[in-house]
Amino acid sequence: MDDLKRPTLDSDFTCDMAFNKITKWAQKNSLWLLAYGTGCGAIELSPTMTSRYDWSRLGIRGSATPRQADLLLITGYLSTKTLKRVIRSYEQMQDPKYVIGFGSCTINGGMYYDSYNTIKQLDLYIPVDVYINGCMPRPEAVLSGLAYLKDKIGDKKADGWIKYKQNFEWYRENQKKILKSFNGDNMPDKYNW
Amino acid sequence: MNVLRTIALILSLGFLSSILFYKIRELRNLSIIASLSVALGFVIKFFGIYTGIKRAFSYKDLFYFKFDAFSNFFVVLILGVGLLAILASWNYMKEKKGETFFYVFFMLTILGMVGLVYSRDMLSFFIGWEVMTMGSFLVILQSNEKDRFKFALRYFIISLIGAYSLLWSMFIIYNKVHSFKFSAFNSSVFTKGELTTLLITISIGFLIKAAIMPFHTWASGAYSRSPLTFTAFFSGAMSKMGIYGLFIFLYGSIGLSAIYKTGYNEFFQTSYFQYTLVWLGVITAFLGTLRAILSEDIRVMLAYSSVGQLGYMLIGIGLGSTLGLTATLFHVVTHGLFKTSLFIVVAAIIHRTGKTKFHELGGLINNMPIAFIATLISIITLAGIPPLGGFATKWLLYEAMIEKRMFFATAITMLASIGAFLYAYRLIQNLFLGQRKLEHDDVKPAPLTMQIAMLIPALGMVFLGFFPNLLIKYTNLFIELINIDFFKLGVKVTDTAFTNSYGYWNAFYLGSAVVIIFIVSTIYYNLQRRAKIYKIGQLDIYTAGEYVTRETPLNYSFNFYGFIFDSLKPAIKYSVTNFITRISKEFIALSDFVRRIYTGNGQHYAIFTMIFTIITLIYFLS
Amino acid sequence: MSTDSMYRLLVTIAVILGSIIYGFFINSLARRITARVQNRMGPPLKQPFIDVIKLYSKRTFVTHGIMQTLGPILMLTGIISTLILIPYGKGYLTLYSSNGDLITILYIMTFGQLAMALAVGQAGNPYGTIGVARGLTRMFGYELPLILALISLIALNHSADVNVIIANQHGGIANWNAFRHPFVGITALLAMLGMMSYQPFDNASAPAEVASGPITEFGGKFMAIMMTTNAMFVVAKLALLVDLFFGGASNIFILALKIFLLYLYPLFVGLVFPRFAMEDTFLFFWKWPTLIGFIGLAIAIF
Repeated sequence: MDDLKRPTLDSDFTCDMAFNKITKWAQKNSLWLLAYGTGCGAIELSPTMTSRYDWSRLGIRGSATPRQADLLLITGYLSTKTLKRVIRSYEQMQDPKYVIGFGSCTINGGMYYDSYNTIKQLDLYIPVDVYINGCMPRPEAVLSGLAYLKDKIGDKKADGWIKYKQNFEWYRENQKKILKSFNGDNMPDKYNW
Repeated sequence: MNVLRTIALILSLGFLSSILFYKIRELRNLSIIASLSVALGFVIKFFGIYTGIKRAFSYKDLFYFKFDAFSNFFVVLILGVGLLAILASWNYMKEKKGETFFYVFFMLTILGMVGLVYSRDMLSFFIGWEVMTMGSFLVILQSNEKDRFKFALRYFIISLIGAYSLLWSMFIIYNKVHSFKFSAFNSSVFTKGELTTLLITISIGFLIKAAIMPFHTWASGAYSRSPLTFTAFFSGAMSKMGIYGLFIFLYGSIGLSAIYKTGYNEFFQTSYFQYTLVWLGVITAFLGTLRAILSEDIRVMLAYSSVGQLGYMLIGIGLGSTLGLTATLFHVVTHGLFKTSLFIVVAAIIHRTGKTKFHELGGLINNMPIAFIATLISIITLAGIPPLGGFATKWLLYEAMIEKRMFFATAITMLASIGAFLYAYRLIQNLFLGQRKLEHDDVKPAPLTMQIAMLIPALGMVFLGFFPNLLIKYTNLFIELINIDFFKLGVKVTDTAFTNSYGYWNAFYLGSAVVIIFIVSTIYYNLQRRAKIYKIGQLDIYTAGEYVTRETPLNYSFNFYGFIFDSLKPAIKYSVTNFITRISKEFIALSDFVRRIYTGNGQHYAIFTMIFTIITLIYFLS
Repeated sequence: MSTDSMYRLLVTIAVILGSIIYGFFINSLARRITARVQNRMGPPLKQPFIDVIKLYSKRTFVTHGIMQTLGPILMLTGIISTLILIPYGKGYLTLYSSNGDLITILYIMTFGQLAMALAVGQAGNPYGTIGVARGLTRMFGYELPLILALISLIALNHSADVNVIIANQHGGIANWNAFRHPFVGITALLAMLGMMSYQPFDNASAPAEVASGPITEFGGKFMAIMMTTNAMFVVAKLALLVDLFFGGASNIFILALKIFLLYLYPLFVGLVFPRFAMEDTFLFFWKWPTLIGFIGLAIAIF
């Protein structure tokens, strides 16, 4: 994996991040996340959203469809089959959008490091803004990860969506490498189709 | 110059040319269109003029025709809708089987209708009526549907029942009054029972033509199986002849005081007869709407929609107040406009795709943009949403019903019009919106003549939405003409504002407000420039991450209102159509049994003859 | 333009903007109340404003066609047209209610819903269409008791004029239509449950059943306009119900208070009852509320 050339951010496109103070504040304080639990980590979301930890006080709420969502949580291990759906859902979200990798599995495969059907390194396929470590991360860790993402948005550092657009071919190539039947399964090559 | 003779001459020339040039398409169509438009222009030119022209025509005190505002109102509708339907047929009927005779019988129908509308005596009225029925029956036979004969026959037989019912009452009237003239009717020579019977038989005759429940059984078949451009005329203009007939017989000839003589209820403030008419209208409006909501075939839906809409008109007739009759006349116009437009749209779609069911279509907005616009305007009018013309009808009708204190009936009627919203949405959603089917990718837009024919009524609907007062002024004019001055004028029209004792509504201000708000909203909406708007394909939708193809059925269109169907299932299985179908089946079985006396054996026949002779002899000799 | 009509226009614009702010305010208050019932903190009061600003600041919008782009604007048009026909008090606060009576208001309300339905149709998502079909079915259900209640009011007041109906309720709580004519009031309150589309009648936008129903394909600016419109629509509907059944209001603050109190009722009902199935929703409205409505109407007439 080390021989891969990492995608870089073209400075020309940073003007896309030129939000003013109010919109930046709004984007920070209103994160709608896609209600899509990909792995076992989704179980940690229930306590995070209910009475004990209650993420709605931070302006976070779930949304049923990617069209309205700002945030995609990859909760834990991601099988190749699920990756297909994740790509689709991610591309259907509207800019700006953020991804949080959840648990060890998204960083290096975690306990599935030698599994044949699990993604080892998430940011080869979709750009990840924040990782939350742990297996599983406790709700406190989830909340701190979300707070970190908020700070990143405030500092205009959460630029994964620009990275994805600029290095779209690179990401597609990686996706096609792991999803052998990419075009056979009617998956489109284009971003919007 | 006699106006009536001129009109008759122009239309007869059109009819003759349709026979003469029945094989030469362009010549025939052009001459028909020319004759209809000249006649239409002629009627419009002399619409409000009553001086300096001869406008009555009579023959030996037997036939009597009159050219007045009331008749012209309907004649303009007939000729206008007929013209649009003929225009649309140019492409729709092109190279179809039955194209040649279609026009002949169509012209015959128009001729009969114009005759009956101008007639002011019962005999010529009845002749026109029968010519119309015959012509329309023959037009239905020119369609390409396999089961057309069955439905055409059903229509004809039920129409005949109505016609005999009419004829019978006309003879009863003649027997007593010794004149066929409408104006000669004299209620004092009838007893109360005779008048009641007369009213019932007359209304049966007209209710059958207007397809009011429970006489509607022919409607869905006949509307959906005739050539669809003719159905535009059938539903848009011809079904109103029932309403016209009721209007002229009940209020023009028999008169309100005679109707009140059959039984007046102080509490209802109306006669029992009129009260029944109102409730028949209400039930028709409601059940027709319900059937329309639950139908899967576009043509059947529009047919039941017509049944329901005719119910509204009957309510106005039954109310008998100025406001009610105004509502009816207004609805005659709006329904004529939007149903013509809708049927021509459906004709165009079926012409281009060959599909008639909702679930076989979808996503045609980009293929047929003009048809979409026409449908949009039509359904807004159909659902009675301001600021288009349909709301005026609804407002007038409800105010008329409330004025008469028929609150239960008002509630059900309003519910029916909410139901109209349901099927109207389905009409636009399942045809034009949603996912387009793979085989419809290169469906061409509607043919030019059909586009013209569907857009002209749409423009009329928009115009009526902003200036309903212009039409009201005309209707008020001739409601006075036919001597319904028993009531105070129910609605006050000042400029564009409508006021009556219960409510008010200003069409023009309201419409303008909507337009201004729309413009302001659009400006506000487009203020933000930096964002990019991407136009994406129809498959790029939320599918829970699944990848779909064009073959994936992604349209929600079959059994669209399944919830309503499931909820009302126990009630829906009882319908008049089923009842009639069962009776007809039993009747066929009975006939089959009777038929068995024809055994083919000569000796049996000899025995039958002998038995018959003996019985006759005994009867006469004893 | 005369001074009078100028003032009226200014008041109207103020009411429209005010209804947005107040609609968002009671919406977030409701969310906080819901949170407290569930032993949570709930979002801050400014949350709906933040959400809307965020949705506006989205960088990309996708649309499937002209109707999806136009739909939200038409919806806004319809709702504002409804808003300006409802009186919010006396004097200039009657806005333009002299241009349409109760029947007009009832019908122009559907304009926005039709626009929304068309936009959903163009988006081509079957979930959205199912949502619309459910919404329309529910409307067909609750309109029957609602119409019965409104017709009863018209029958009782001999007028379809909202201002007249308000004036007739003058003089204390006992004169409010909801209490003076209890059957009519109960019918209207039951129909209102369907009108407000809270649980147990939130079938149209049921999450976890049909994605998020009609709004499934709408994000960014479209969604922002829809949220704004919904806030306005809630205020419009509640103001109309307050005018008709709860005595109207002499000034805008009392109206705001009444609107909020009335808003709590579907909210608490929704917190207690789980969602109904679609068939049950439809039949519910055509059973008990309709029966009570018929009784109310019968009493009103005789």
